[in-house]
Amino acid sequence: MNVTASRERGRGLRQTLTRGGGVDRFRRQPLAVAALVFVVVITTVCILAPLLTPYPFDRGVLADTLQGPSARHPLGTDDVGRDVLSRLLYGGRTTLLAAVQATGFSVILGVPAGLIAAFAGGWVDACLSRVADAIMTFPALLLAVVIIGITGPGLTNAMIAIGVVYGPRLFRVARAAGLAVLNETYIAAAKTVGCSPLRILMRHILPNALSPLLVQVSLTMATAVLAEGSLSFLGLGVQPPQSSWGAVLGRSVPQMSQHPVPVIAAGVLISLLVLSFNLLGDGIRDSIGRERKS
Amino acid sequence: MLTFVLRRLGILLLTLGLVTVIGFLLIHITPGDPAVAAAGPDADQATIAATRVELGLDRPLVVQFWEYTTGLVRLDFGTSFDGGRPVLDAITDRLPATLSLVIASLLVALLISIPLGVGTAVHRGSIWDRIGVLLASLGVALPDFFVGLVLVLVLALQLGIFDATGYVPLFDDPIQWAYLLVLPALTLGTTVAAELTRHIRASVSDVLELDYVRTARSKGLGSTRVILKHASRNAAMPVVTVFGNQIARLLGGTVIVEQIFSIPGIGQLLVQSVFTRDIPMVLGIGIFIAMIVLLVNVLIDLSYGWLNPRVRA
Amino acid sequence: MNTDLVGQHVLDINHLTVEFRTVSGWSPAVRDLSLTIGRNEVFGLVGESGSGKSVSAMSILGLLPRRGTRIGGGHVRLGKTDLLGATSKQLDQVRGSRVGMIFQEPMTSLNPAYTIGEQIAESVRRHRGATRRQAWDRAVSLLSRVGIPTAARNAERYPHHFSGGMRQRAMIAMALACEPELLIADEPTTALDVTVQALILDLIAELRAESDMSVLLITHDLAVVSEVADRVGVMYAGELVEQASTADVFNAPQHPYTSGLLSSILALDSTREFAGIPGSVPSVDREFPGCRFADRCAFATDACTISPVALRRSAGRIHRCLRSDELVLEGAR
Repeated sequence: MNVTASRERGRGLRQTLTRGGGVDRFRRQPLAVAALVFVVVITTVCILAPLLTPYPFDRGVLADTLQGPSARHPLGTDDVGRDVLSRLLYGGRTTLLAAVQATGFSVILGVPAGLIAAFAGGWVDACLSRVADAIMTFPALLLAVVIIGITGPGLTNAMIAIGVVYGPRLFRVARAAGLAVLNETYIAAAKTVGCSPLRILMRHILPNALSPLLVQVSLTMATAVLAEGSLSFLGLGVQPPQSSWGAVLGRSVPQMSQHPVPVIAAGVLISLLVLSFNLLGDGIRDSIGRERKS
Repeated sequence: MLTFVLRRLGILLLTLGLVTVIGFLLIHITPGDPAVAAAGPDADQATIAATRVELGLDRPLVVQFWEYTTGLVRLDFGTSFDGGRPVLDAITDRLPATLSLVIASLLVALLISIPLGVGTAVHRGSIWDRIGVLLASLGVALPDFFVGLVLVLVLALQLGIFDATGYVPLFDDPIQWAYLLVLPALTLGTTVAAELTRHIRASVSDVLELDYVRTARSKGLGSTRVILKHASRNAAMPVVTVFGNQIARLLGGTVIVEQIFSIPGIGQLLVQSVFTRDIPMVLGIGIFIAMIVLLVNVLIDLSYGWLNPRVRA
Repeated sequence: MNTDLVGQHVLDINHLTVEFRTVSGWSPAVRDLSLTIGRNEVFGLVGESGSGKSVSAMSILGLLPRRGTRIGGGHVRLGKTDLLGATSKQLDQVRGSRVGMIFQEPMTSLNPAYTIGEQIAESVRRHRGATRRQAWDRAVSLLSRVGIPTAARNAERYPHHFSGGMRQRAMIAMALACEPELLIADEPTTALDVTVQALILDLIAELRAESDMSVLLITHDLAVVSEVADRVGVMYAGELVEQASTADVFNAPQHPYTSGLLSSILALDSTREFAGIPGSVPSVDREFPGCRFADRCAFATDACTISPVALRRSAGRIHRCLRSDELVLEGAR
């Protein structure tokens, strides 16, 4: 394969992602589009929570504890009289932010390490890959709980823990993408022309790695939302009076038999968000997957 | 085969080492003095200092780490801050409950995922396939705690078919043991089943396209036998790999499920220890689980030899 | 019908049409195929990849994938059994018992998880109701018959221990396990080395000579056909374009496509299939008003592209060319 043809292909993939066929193919998948819409709507609503909610998330009216759904409180109130809907909207911010933190952390950990492993090869690659394998064999949630157990409860600790646990997945994707591109002749050509490694990385490798990374980021967001929910449910994540979907759910469990609405509302929200990120990831994968086959 | 297993064993020992090192470092890097936690909430400075010496926390980190790891080799996981009980004792006390939960959940997961995965793969593209895939996607997205709570709400609180929470040891009352395990096992099993179903479907439909499956059909073996004998064993290879991850996930899920259903297992002990800041216990449980994961993975590696004769050579 | 054919038909394919689902709907991959194979006869079905020859073979035993393919019409009869209308249970009684089949890829057609002996023996157990012991003994003797040395020991080995030629021998043993009336061999030598090819062909010829088994030999390689086949059918773009005795086809082809194929076996460059004909086989969903070969044919006239060409018969031969009477086409000898 000659240099220009290969470069064309590299550019083609990037176009796939930004405007070319990939977007069209993505648009043809109703489930993925619905998922994207849901994520965008939820994110917007949660960001606008202070404007949309008439009640504060951290103070309740003691006279109004444990009410069922009503016109004033569509999802009722919790055990200290706080409006559940308001707490969910504010809580969504925490949940989303936490997921972004965790995912961002695993990207920061995994992607550079993956590219270094691909570039350096040899024992560097072997060491990094073994460490990644080692972390991946351990149950994620347990590792997070253990890390929190040692560092103390709190959402940031929790999300760093989750980031560590999912870093290896991004490491693998970045490494695979790096290796795939490294073997192409145009990289050798670029090297002989005197391109700096950084330039090769930015111009050739990242564009090619971007689509599989995006898939993995979406899937990691899903797991991070799940993890935040689980940890906050256990009381190891956000601390009162902060709200998050997991925290709302966990706090409502003792009164569940009389007041199931908050538990169900929070659970449905978490499930839908996780499902959406999963479908989004699948959708992106299918949009680029078909490109490769043709 | 031997080198393969040794290699995998190396990776797993590395996991164990990493968990120990990370855990150990975290204890000492992060703010908060373990001695303060160990001495209890109302201890004065003198007591804290005495506790520090007593627990050996005043010695260099390297020495402490050496003592801890050599202890691990002798299966000494250290002693709990809470009453000075050996960590391993506390864990083995709780082990039967967790093991019951894990095995029951695994059973549920396999009973759901194998028929569903194989069925959807064989009838790929049909309406049943689509429903199955949709269910699996939903199942993957549903959090353990939500599934558990909904099951409790509907089957226990509303319909009263099951008790909401509780656990009875197997040898005390086998029937009650099984009865109480139904809901927790369903909770943990369905989420794992969803993931397994996706993999089984993908793997089986890949294998069904292969030449030797066509050969088997050309011999007139009948579709049931073709699937059960010729497709399943080869389709099992990738699934078994995932199975290892799923067992790890199951162990993680016990933390949540034991909490919801008040099962006195290791997961519950872990969460309690986190709240009481019982660091040796937390670290000990982490390492213990890592050992179990290690063991499961070695077993899975050995199963490759049976599934694929090429590995045996 | 073929007046030169003596004895009864083992296989009778009548107006068979097989359709594939394409973007533009159902398109025929095999159209209106008719052929018969007599007892103990070797029939060679020849064509380029994409000509529909393998699809025809698969449809005989109902081995085409259920999704995306369907039978558009026609009959396939094995003796008195209607195969297209058979239930899957009835088909399973035919497969491996009355019809044995071997495939192109001996490397992937055997199951890596089971021993060679087991894969042969299970067919015997299934169709003959033999015990495990009996079936195993039969597998060993079959392996020995197809030329596997130390068959008893090799039966206990796995496919990955075998070379390509040995695997194809094992496949043949498997196909012959229940002494079928018909052996379908779908490109049995394509994946093998030239020296091994000859050995496998010899084996098929021998086995046919010592029983009354018929063989449907499917190949893109006319050289293979010339060695073992009694009669030859040539397929192009889903249609049978010529059918005659092997000698007739080789000496005096009546269709320009056959002539092109024959000239290509003389080409030394064996990696290039059909060097003699420019262009390639049209895809299934392409429609032609006239002769499907016209746009690649050196002899095509306007008349060829107007309406479909029906099969013509003369002196026991069948062909599908309007100009066969005026053309004198080059054979291989």
